Amino acid sequence: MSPVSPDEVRRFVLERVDEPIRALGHEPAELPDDFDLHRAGVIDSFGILELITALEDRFGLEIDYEDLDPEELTIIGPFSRYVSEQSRDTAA
Amino acid sequence: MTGPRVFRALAEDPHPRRHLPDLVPWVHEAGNPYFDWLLGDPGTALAAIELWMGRPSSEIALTRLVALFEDGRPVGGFVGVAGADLARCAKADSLAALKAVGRKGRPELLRRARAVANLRLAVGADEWFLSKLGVLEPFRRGGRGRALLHEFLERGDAQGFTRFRLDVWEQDEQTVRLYESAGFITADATYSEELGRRLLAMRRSTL
Repeated sequence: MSPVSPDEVRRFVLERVDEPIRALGHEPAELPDDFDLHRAGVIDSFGILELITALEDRFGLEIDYEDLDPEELTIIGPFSRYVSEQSRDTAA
Repeated sequence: MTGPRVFRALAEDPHPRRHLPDLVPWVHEAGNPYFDWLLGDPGTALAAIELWMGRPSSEIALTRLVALFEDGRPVGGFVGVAGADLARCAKADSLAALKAVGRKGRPELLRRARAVANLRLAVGADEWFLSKLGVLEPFRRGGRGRALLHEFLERGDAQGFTRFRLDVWEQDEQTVRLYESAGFITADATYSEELGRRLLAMRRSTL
């Protein structure tokens, strides 16, 4: 399992939700770090499960979310950084 | 003869986890058949429920639970959640569900979660939501359910809520009648093909 960068995680997440983000009038590349996908209506509870599973399958990760504040699960910046850190810790 | 009934918020209990053996059974039953169906089997569901109840951010966290004590034992209780908190709870509980089923169980969990993604209708941020209410089997038919429902309404009122919301399976006629007797009316309903039953969204307003 190779570590992934926060940018790689961010790119993957935004590619998956590209359509709903644009439908809300946002440009994915311009979304701020603190953009909350759940609060903005981009993703629902089921979508969270799908996203996590797809992310882990794509990068071959097995992430422990125990230390992640659930609130940050759908905020792009913190989530991307957390996944990246976890991937580095596991690869080490 | 039983002692006096005492309602106690488990958030005030220094060791709430010691009550889990008496709490998990009715929480499990109150959430069924959904829990067992979503997580695959009763054993996995019970493990997930214990996990959820131990997490402060979960919808059914021990810290949200008000228990009815008789002779020092919690014989039933309810979980009340502010509508504004439910989104955060959903995130936390999604993570716990993934953990409970393990990697092998994920594809089926995702399939089932997709099937019921819209089963629960939206809860308003200004609503006090009754997530679970139940009584241990040996203690039923003694007015405890009604007393717990009354306590749920009282506690919501004390926090300034004027709108109350709950979900109940249509075929659970006795429970539907209990809620109606307390002023709840059916506002809407959804049908689950997978579970083969209708879920009623009930509301009550004190305005």
